Amino acid sequence: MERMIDQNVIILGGGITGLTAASELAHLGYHVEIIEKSESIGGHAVRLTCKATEKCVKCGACKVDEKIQIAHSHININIHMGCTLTGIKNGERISVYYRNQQDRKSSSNAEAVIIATGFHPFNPETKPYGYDRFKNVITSLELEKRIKEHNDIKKPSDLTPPEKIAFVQCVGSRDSSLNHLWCSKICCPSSLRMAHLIQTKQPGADISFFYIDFQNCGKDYQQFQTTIHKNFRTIRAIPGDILQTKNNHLEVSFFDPVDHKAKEEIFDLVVLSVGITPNQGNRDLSEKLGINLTEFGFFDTHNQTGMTSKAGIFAAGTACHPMGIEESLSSGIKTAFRVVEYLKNGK
Amino acid sequence: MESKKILIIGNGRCASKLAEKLMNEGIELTVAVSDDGSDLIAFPAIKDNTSAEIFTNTKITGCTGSIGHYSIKFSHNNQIHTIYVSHVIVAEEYLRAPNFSHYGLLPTENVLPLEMSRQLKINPTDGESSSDGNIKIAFLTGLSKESNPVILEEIMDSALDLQSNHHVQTYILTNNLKIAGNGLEKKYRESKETGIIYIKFTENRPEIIQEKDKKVRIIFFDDVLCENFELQPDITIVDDNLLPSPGLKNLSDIFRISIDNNGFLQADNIHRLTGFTNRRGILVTGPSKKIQTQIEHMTDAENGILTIINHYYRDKLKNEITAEINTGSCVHCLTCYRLCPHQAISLETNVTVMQEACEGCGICAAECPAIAIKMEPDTSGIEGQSENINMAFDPASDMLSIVVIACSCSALRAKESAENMEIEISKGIHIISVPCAGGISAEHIFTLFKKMVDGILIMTCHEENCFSETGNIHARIRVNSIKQKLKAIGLNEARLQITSIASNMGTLFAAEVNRFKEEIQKLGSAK
Ligand SMILES: Cc1cc2nc3c(=O)[nH]c(=O)nc-3n(C[C@H](O)[C@H](O)[C@H](O)COP(=O)(O)OP(=O)(O)OC[C@H]3O[C@@H](n4cnc5c(N)ncnc54)[C@H](O)[C@@H]3O)c2cc1C
Ligand code: SF4
Ligand code: SF4
Ligand code: SF4
Ligand code: SF4
Repeated sequence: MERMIDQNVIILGGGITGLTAASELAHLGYHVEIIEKSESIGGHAVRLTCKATEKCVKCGACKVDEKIQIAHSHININIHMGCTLTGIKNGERISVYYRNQQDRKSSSNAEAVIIATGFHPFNPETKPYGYDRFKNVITSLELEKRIKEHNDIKKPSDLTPPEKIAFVQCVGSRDSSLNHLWCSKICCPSSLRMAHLIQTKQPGADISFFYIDFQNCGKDYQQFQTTIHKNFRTIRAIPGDILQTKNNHLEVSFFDPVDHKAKEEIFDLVVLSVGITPNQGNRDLSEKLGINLTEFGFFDTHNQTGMTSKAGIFAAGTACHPMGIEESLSSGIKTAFRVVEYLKNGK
Repeated sequence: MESKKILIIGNGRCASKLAEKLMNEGIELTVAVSDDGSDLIAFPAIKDNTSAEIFTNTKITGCTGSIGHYSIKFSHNNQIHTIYVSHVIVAEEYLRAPNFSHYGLLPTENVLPLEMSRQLKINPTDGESSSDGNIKIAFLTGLSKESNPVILEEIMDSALDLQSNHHVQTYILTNNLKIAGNGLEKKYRESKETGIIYIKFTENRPEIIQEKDKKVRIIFFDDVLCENFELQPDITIVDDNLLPSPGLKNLSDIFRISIDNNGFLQADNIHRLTGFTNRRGILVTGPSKKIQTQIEHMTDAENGILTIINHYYRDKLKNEITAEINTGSCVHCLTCYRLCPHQAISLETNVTVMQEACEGCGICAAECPAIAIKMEPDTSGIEGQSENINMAFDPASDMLSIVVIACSCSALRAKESAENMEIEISKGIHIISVPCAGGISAEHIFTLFKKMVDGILIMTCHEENCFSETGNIHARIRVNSIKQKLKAIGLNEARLQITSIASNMGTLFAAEVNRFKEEIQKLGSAK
């Protein structure tokens, strides 16, 4: 028998953060309504591929399937797909108004709201890497999708396996020209694991990394680090620009930190490790909810407490900070805990 | 009767916060500290609260039972105490080890560990010996071993304070700047603006010399100026290595919970994210789990508490499938006790399965030499599901009968994911789901082959991603030995295969099944 509590929590966004918070609250007996903008739940994590080689490399991506299953099957969880928030009203309870894609309006009352609307992967069109013009310049997310759906690595131009691959790190992160003064935290681990996977699937592949600093990748980074330096070439520079030469090859120019010379080098696939940026809709959502954003446009939760500037409204996951799946899970659980505390004490 | 008491092991901020929050929830606790517990006792919420029992200078010596019913023994004042608790939370702080030897330095009054940098008393005349009259302080971090964002933040905070409030010129010498923490990139930019000089090394390392007069000289090739450069700091500060508390090894042995390659508790396994271990009701938080920030430690503490509240509010969580031992047939070999990844076997009086601890993996049943263990209810196990196979496949027909045994944590979800994505999976495949591939025994396989099955593909989780930790490894070992026996009875060993897959790989699931089917088609019918 499940315990039932006559209190309702609304979660905006059914990514891994929102689903985790939902399953915790539902297990405790609260009613949970998830308002999800798209037609499916799981968020970005479902687009990621498994990067296990001879062993699991602990990227966490497969954790989301379990959460999706719980969300679909738990009797205390209700999902409204394809819906966006239109406004809220504070009264005895919080009234939340939303509408679906056919413009049908609905509303629900709740004791608390959790914002778990996630992030926007950086769109590299504005960078001088020819992303929108050259077929063989792709984002890390596109590479994830390719492997997940086809189980192989191919150049988009002619669908043959690439021989010489460059990963460009920090695309859209740690970038003062964009005022993106944050490290996305996930693109080093993710691209390093990806490169390791490519080399396992395609042993001859020649892989170079253009980077500023390598961030730690998992609990056992020291060990992984040793592998990296054996297997990949690492160039501590961020490319100036990328041009296309014949046969869809790409010429990457960079300042070689070892020879102190400007250089050009030809690659046949360039992967841009795109970072985590705030959703474009955050401003609008924050105004509707009457809460604050940080100077960078993420939801402000008073030094990572999970609470926003308004009582009863909480925020969690990548909606607040760049973070990976593991941290999103803990953030979801922690925020669920904060909601429980609030409903017991604050109400 | 179920106990409603919690045991916290640890002395530090994380343990204190846990204690405070649990007391707020009205939960009874005992805290066992391996040292004098001074940090814990000084914590305001604990100092003023008499409801928590605190034992100092303890050592945990024994643990039996399972979630809700743990009996824990520990030594205290030369006596052994026994307490009954529902859960145990381990929250031991790190051990900090300054990296002097990594940089070839000996600690002196001007070569200090990071912890002392915050208490530095700067005497303005100290800098007079330097040419520009400024005191120079150099921080060395991540030059011999990779560091982490926790240490970087401490260094930046310390350098920022010295640089802006004490007219010191600070230098931070590093390899990879571990900026992957919330707010660190911004802090880095701001700290550069205050005048802190960051010097990053890639392939080369600085030459660090400690002279007889204890002065430190740091000589390196400056990449920007392209010339050799010498730094003579008045004070050199080395970074710390954050190591697991030395007591964790003992806790891992006593509680029979996994430890990772670096000595932190919890296996490096994504099923153990947040506070879980391989044993239900034993939780690990914060600095006993991995290197992370104070805020993350607190998040962990709260996650642990939610797990406990969740348990108290719910009816007994018993798995749908659990093992049961027929005491009459048991020969007391203790194989099950040794192999159970969830420590669900009790040796009190008889060898029995503690139902609330059993995760139903079936490893014990597959390995018991006396065949004394059965999975209950058996209809949901392999036996139950393979009964239908006779009905599904007519041995007289020429259609091949192919069975995929799918681990429910991975392959079964991958199959569902393939179906949701509308990816075509070969027709006529019989899928048997198992809680864990570790429960597939030789008998199961031979029974299937006796039913005229033409091929069996076992699909498990990837190594180190098994909810039961070793289930997939057991499955692989067993498959290899069964293959030998298949040869002996004249069956092609390719008719039995094992492969691993993650739950999110629908396309791969379909591809693997199709590949297997084609291979069996080439071999033809086994009938
Ligand atoms: C290329 C790439 C690789 C990565 N690799 C890894 C990795 O290897 N390991 C790792 O740990 N992490 C990785 N990550 C990060 C990981 O994807 C995130 O940590 C995780 O998905 C965050 O989950 P979330 O729920 O916070 O946000 P999201 O996944 O963004 O989910 C947010 C959900 O909210 C919905 N939504 C948005 N706005 C609204 C609105 N206004 N109303 C209602 N619903 C809304 C969205 O549709 C979505 O379903 C990677 C990310 C990228 C881009
Ligand atoms: S954690 Fe990542 S690498 Fe490991 S099995 Fe899951 S998806 Fe694959
Ligand atoms: S994780 Fe790596 S690639 Fe991503 S922003 Fe940080 S340093 Fe750059
Ligand atoms: S493995 Fe079997 S025989 Fe051995 S102790 Fe366990 S139940 Fe008894
Ligand atoms: S089925 Fe698995 S968890 Fe249960 S007692 Fe046997 S080995 Fe332990």
